[in-house]
Amino acid sequence: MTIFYDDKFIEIDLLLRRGGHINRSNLASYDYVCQNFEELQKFYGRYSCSLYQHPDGFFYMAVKGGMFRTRLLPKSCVHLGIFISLKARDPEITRSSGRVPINQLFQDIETSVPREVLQQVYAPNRREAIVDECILDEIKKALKILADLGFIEMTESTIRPLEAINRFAELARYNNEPNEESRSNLTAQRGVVFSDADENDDESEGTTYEH
Amino acid sequence: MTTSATHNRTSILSIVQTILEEGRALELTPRDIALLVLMRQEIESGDEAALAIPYSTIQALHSRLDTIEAGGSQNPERRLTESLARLVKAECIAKADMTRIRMTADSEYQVTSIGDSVAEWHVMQSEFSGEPLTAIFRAFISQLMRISEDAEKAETENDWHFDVVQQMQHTIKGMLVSIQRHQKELDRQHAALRDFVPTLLIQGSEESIAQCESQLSKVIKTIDDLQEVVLASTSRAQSLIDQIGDLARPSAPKGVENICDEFQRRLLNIAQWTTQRASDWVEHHNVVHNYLRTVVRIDRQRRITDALKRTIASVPGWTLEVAAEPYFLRMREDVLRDSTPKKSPRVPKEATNRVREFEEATPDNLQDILLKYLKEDLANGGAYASSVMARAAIEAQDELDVLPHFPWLIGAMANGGQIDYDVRNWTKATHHIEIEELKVTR
Repeated sequence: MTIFYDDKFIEIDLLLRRGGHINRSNLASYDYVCQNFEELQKFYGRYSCSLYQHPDGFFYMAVKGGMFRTRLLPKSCVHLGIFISLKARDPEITRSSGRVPINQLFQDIETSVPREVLQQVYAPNRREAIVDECILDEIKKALKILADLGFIEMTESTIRPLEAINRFAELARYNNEPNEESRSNLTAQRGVVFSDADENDDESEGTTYEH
Repeated sequence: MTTSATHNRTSILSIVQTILEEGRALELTPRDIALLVLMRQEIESGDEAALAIPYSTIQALHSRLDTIEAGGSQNPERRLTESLARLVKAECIAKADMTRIRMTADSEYQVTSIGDSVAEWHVMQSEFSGEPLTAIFRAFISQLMRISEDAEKAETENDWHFDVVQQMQHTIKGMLVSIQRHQKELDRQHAALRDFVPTLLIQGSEESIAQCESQLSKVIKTIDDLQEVVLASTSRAQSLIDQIGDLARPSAPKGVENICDEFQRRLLNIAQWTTQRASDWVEHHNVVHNYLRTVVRIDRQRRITDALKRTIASVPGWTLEVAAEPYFLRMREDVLRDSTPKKSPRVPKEATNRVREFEEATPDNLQDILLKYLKEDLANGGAYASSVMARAAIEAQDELDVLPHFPWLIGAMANGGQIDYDVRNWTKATHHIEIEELKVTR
């Protein structure tokens, strides 16, 4: 019996090939991966990629050295992901059933993050007069990417962090200073790429690579 | 319309007009209502003969409000005077003495019928004992069963009117009042719980977490209560109403169909409300449990949270590598495409200034060649597209050059003769070109 004729397999396969995550919030897909985890692992192993279940429950694919085309998330996505994973740890989020109004997020990020950092991350090399506008645009773009990859769920006015948002808290688990062994684990199993390990950092983020 | 009904409508309109002209209003603050409730309670619990309350007693009641309300002790005398003035203006209380009394301390007040109703309504609201919705429905269903029995016995129009329609109207009112009170209380409890849970989570102690979990387990009981109502009670009530409707159908007594429809509509609304609230409660319950499991239990010392706070204050020195296989190209016509026009790519300045060189290409004469062979074949009786293409391809520089002219050839053949619709097989015209055959006869 093979899973390759299942409609669910097609859906999940496309999702994983595009860098998506399978969270518990998508119960049907989540259950399907749980039921067929070993077969899926073997299948993606043939592409030299690894399907993992994160300790927080969600499924994701580590693609380093594999045959799939890959990309590095831009700094704006990483910073915003870290910020949202911090918001997800605020008890106040339970008041709104795990949702954060997007306007509130804009305000919070503006008040919690130093302006020069916002500028460097979201609007580098932009004229001062248009920096605020660029920051806002870049945050919106980053939200869209995070939603497409299954880190968050987004409606017109709110976002809801999903379990996968915890991928942005990986380094914080090591107090932001992982030792050599942890770094290699993070690189191999969690898809983390450190800037000092990548020679052409600024140019490479957000671009795709074919293997 | 009867004369009395017309008269009633006229008098109601004149009352409405008076209300608007005189600007009658019930403008009360929460403190005024609270005082009114205390005054009514005082009258009811006191001597039966006493209908009014002396000012000194009202003062004592007012000071009780100060002890309950935080920060309410500033200038109490003035606040009391203002409260009494508002209550008098709203006609909730009236001065009991008819003569003007100079000393305020000697005055007496009595609660009017409006004041009594306002106070009673609030007392009733707060008397919600948490009776489960199922209990309300049980009582409602037993009433409906009794009405259904009466409907079976009803023979005349009058029987239907007095034993069924009027009873149903009374029952629906009673049920709605109870259920709306219940709904409001549940909404209030949920709002309070939503506010309370974050304060417990912030504390992070074992005790506060245990308290939080116990609150959540209470939530589950409420959800069970709600679900039971949705699944059992409403369907039973609906079947009873259908039964009454069926009994009424042969004689079609006046008003039964309308009241049955109204019942069904109300039941549907209640079911929808219940389902919506159940889903809200479940969602909230899951979010809090998830928070306890993934944040509180794992990061008790908030080390990860603190590390994240430090991280957002700097540019991240790492990123994530994710798969980025391209989307499949979709060539189906039924897929809607984005209709927004795309901007043309910007051309670098140097490119626009650069002198461009053009090479003039001579047009091919393949259409003439194709036409020549087509005419030849037609002159002989009939022409095959594959044969015409094959011979033209020999004369072309590259045999594939002939392929773009195939649509043109089809047009030329269709105009030049009669199409033979039986010939449609795929035929190899050349080594590389395979076409659907087309035959025309003269």
